[in-house]
Amino acid sequence: MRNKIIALSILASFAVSSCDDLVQVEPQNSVSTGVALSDVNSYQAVLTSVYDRLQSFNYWGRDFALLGDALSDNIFTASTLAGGRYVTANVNGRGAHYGIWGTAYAAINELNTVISTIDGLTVPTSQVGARDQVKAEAYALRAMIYFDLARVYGYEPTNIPTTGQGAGFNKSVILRITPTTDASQADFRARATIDQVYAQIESDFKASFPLFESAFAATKTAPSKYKMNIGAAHALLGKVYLYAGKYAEAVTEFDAAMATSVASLANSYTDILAPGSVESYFELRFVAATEMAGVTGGNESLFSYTNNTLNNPLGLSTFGGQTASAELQALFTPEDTRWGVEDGRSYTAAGFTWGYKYTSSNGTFTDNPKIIRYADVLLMKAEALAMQGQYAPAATLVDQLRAKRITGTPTASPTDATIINFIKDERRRELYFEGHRWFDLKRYGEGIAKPSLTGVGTIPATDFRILAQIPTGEVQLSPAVGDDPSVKLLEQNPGY
Amino acid sequence: MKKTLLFSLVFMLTLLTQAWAQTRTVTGRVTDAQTGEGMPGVTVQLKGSSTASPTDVNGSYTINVPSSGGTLVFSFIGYSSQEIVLGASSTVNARLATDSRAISEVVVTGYGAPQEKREVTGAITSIKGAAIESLPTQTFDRAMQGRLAGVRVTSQSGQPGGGISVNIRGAATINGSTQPLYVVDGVQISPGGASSQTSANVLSSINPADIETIEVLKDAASASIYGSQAANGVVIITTKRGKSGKTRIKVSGQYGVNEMYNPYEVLDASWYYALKQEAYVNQYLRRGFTREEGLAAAAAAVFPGGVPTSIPSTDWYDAISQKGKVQQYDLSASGGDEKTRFFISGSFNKTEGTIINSDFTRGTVRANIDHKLSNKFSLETTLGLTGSKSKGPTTNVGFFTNTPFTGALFIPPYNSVYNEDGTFNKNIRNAYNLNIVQSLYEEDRMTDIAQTVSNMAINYDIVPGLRFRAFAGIDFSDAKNRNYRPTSLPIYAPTGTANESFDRRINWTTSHTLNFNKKFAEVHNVGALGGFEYRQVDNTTLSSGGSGFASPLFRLLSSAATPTSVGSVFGGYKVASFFGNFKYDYKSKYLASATLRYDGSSRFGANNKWGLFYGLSAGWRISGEEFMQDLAFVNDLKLRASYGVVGSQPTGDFTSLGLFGNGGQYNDQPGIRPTQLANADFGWESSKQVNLGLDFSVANNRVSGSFDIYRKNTTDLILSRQLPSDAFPAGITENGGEIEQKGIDFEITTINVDAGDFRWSTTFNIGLTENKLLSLNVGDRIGNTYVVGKPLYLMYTYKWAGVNPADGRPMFYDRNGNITYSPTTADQDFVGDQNADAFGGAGTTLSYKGLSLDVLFQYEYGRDGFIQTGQVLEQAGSANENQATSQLSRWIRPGHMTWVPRPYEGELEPGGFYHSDFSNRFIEEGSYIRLKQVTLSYKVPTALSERIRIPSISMFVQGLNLATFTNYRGDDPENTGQNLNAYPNPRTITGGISVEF
Repeated sequence: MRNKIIALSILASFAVSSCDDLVQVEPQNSVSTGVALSDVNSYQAVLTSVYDRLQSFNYWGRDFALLGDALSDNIFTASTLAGGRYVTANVNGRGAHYGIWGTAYAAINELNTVISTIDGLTVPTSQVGARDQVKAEAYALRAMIYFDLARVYGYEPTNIPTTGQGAGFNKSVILRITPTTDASQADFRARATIDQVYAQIESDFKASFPLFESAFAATKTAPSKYKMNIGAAHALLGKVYLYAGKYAEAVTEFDAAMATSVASLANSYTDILAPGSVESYFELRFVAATEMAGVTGGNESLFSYTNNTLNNPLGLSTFGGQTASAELQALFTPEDTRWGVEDGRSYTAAGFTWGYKYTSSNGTFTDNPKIIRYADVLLMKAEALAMQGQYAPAATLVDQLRAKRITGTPTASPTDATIINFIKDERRRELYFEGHRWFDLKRYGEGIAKPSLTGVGTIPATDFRILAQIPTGEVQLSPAVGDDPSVKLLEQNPGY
Repeated sequence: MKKTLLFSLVFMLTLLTQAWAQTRTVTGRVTDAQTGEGMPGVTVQLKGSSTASPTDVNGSYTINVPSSGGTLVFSFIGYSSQEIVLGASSTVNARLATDSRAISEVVVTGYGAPQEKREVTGAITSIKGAAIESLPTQTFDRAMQGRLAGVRVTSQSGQPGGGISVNIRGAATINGSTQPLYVVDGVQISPGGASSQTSANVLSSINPADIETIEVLKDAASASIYGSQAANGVVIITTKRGKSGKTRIKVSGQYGVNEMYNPYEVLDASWYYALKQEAYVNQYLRRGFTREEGLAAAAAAVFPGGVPTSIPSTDWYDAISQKGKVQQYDLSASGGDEKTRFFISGSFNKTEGTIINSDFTRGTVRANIDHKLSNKFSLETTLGLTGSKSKGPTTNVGFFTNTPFTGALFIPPYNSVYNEDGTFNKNIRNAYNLNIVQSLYEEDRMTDIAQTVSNMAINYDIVPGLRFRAFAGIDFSDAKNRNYRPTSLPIYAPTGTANESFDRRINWTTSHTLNFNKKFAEVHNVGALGGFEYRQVDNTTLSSGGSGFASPLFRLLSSAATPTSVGSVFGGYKVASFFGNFKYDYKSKYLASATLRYDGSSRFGANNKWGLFYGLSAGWRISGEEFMQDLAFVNDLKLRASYGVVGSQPTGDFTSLGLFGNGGQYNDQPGIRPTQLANADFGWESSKQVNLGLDFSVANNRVSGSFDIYRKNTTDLILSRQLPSDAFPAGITENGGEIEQKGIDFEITTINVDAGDFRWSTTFNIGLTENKLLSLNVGDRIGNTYVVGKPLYLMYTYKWAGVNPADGRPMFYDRNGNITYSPTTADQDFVGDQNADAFGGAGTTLSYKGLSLDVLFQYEYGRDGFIQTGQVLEQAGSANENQATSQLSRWIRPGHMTWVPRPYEGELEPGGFYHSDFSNRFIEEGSYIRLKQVTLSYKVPTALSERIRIPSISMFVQGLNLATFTNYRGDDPENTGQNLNAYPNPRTITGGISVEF
């Protein structure tokens, strides 16, 4: 019998080599990594996941479109009406800030997957254009997301403080440009410098341009405003140059963006709010039925945040507490169509004045946040010209915008150095409640004068709260460097 | 089945020895010494030969014996053998007395032939079906409670037919499975819930009355034949099979009630209002207002329409409770001839819960058939079919407003259930806007399950002693779950919602084994087994939901205006195995066994697809030694030692794979994204266990039992490791860390009196365990529940210091042991753990003639339990919810020593802390002793029952959970885990009759 056992074991060991198939079960609700990316459509689906992440409420789905105004000076948060939303952010409490780390890096890993592996995909000639389009979008989206990370968690190349806790702090975010496909690749890394990250952003945008062009040449499909496109990529790269103080390069990119047919200046301010607006280079399309239905819309939407509950033009129940600050209201003249009850841009309720920029324009509780639009580009170009001393061409641009926004004959823009401050105010009038104000004030490096009702006063440009906190869990997880266990490879921002 | 196997073996031997020369015939009758009735199936053997014959239904036999004489041996399982020297007479009658050792003599240890218990070298404990067959429990796992040393059975819900948890020698894991492998007639089934609406236990497909034996393989060496699924022990259930002879029919029925026996006592409306007034007055005085202003505020808050002259009060707990009726009817027939034997049964059980509109209904049918095709071929089939329906409220623990306990315990008692016109009161104040009685009546939550655990086997006896067996079995269930919330319950959805889902589970097993048993030279007993097994499990769920119903009369999904959800989920796994076992004993004195199992599973990673598991054991039957023969006092004494390495499979089907999954949607397009990183090295949790044991039986088998001591080290725990989220958004699951579990199991049975008609026996068992986390994959703690160097399942929270007698404010200890009114998280500490130090049971049986009394106590000692419901009921009247009557001992005046703080509206005094936040005020030792079962039965004397031509009539009354002795202040010390609004176990009292003919 012993022989039988031995014989059986030998038999077993033979059998086993061919037996792995016996114990193989493929999942059906998910797909194994090896077979998931088999055609261009599956790569497009990965990009869809990235767009889905951009829609997160902690990213472009809400915070990037609104939180900046609460952190700075356009919003006064009425705490009794806000249901706790942005209450601490409005008084710049410690840690109440942007938190895009997890969302942004999850998207970057997906983009890295696309960029690193799509060249290995064999596609029929008819799909080469589609493949180039996917890769172009991936490059430009990665650049955009790194830019957003860089401006949330680090200083701009031009305004690193020389005094205070953040003096000389030149760290930006962690750079990863290859996908993590195995746990062994999930190594701990230190933060790259601001210059390294900006260089990567510039390189990615530039890599996207020829791909967008070859894709267009092959498919002749006009760019979609709901996806990253060549116009948005040029405009965003221009913005990156502006943040980096490279004004001449910025102007070149803004010109390139304006030369595309993606967007143009809207004749009426109402038009810019509509879904798929003529001004949009790139906006996120929210679908009411699938993305904003149920409690999500009522709790988390831009509409819900910026409108008084029940006493709003649509009578919807909200968690609204984000009202227009007195300082913002004071900037508008009665002729300005961008503000005022008679223009339908504001209303008063519960003792506060509410901006009515988010109007459920794409379905109940649903608005499309604009990532970049024409007026933003125009004003940035004017700023870049003015910073190079070209005041008159800058004034021409600003006047071109004001002519569309103000009834009657608007006062002409100054043609001397004071135009720089004039443009700053014009940006605030044009782009309020669209999330730009915090980043603008941050890059100006002049401190944040908070709305007087908040009682906060002015936050100096050297204050630690100018930078968001790196998630503490990530810092804790990171290994110590050297003997001091509190000194981590992933360095926390100064002051936190 | 074991008996029949033995029996057929004997039968074959008889056939082989027909040709005996010089014989004569002896006849006679074998009767039961106690009852005097004829005993069928007794083996009558000529000593020293293979000549044997069974007795027939009346106990009569005929045997050919040599003319030269000899000795006849009469043996029957469970009875002492008797030897009678043949004289001249050709009639030899025998009276057999029960063997004092009531424990089953033969055990089934998986795949192989039944083994004599005295030759077993591992730690195995068992229950005979007779002990549990008439219990009014819906599942056999519940019936195991308190009867087996080292087997801890805990229920988290008193829902009829509900799921419970069984831990054999502790649950030494963090994320792995804690439940044993169940093998029902050779079919492996995984326990768990079969319902998403009610609480249904997959094991409820087996009617407890059909069970012949339950065997529990506790040590790794015994369980190692089940390899990678055996780390939590194995429970082997064998159902009854037919015996040849006259067909025996058994009919039984019982009827009784389920009731709640220890509900929380809550305040009536007058007392509720009185505490509320105190709470407002205390708050107002503290804020600088007057007492009168406080009273006015209380009146305005509780009775905004004005305080009624006499305050109406409703006992909501009473309104949701009922005395549930319990009915159980069984019919079975067994019998057969030499070639074919059968056991057929049917049963019907209907058990109403202690909550209104909750019940469990089950019908089962069984047909177990054995057929001998020839001397070499035999067939077995086992068919079990079950249909069950369960209906009832959600019994998930937690703060769900639609559980009956949240709804009834916490509602302020001034609310009435009905309006004056008899309609449901929908204007419920201060209580989540839901009338729970209406909800229990009008919300549908139900599950219908069709289930089978069946198999078929072909045996081929190649040569005597060598058998090939081909086996295939299936465990199948289809569960239809349905939830409907009508428009009359607007809190959920103004237009009504419905959700339906179908869960299908197909779990099939096939095995092919060669089994060899032979005795060489009368002293070398050899057994060998080799085989291959394959198991596949597929689980699929289809679900859909809709909302918008015209009226409560339209209930099906097709009537919904808007479809709201669809879902389709697939999961499954496959296991392939090669196994072998080799047994040897020398004169039944020196015993050894070795087992190997090689398992491959789809749940393991690509680099780790196959694992080798093994067990080694040895035994020394000291009582078999020559030098022990003089010690007549010792009937049996055996030392055992075993060591084995077994595994526990991951519970996730695809944990090792790199996956792309649902990646959200954008612009009406679906996305995909990497959701999980591959871990090709991922595998099983490995458990190494060493066991030392001693089996003993002394004083004419009147004191018998076993003692086991073990140490179990579980390594390669299934744990997650966080990755930097800049690299990947999710962590990975990997193996690492170690847990040590040590313990002692002890069981003893004594026969205190055995005086003919009167017999008194007692039994006692205890399991002692302790565990310690030795290491983790990374770091030294997971939250505050698992800390390296400490036991598992820690409780970590604030430390309560009682009530300040001076002002009635709640006090806590800070981290330095000083009193504080406002502790911070840094003041939290380890305040207990949820491991039982000891658990087990004790029972006694008294019988006199046909009358017998069975009593079973069950106990647990040294385990800390939560009182989460207390966090709501014990707020000293400071919140809206109704309060336990214990809160009337609230602090009243300076110097008053009490454990209940003073009422303070809103609870939080300035500079204080919420005393209802989780602190060790809500942790209490959950030790208890419970009178689990009392059965009084009476068997009508045969002489009497024969007059109406019924050979056997028994009548019985029994009670479950009759009394509980504990200091625990919650409603049920059995539910001491996360137990907010847990469903307490009911007390059940039934009476019944059982007839055999």
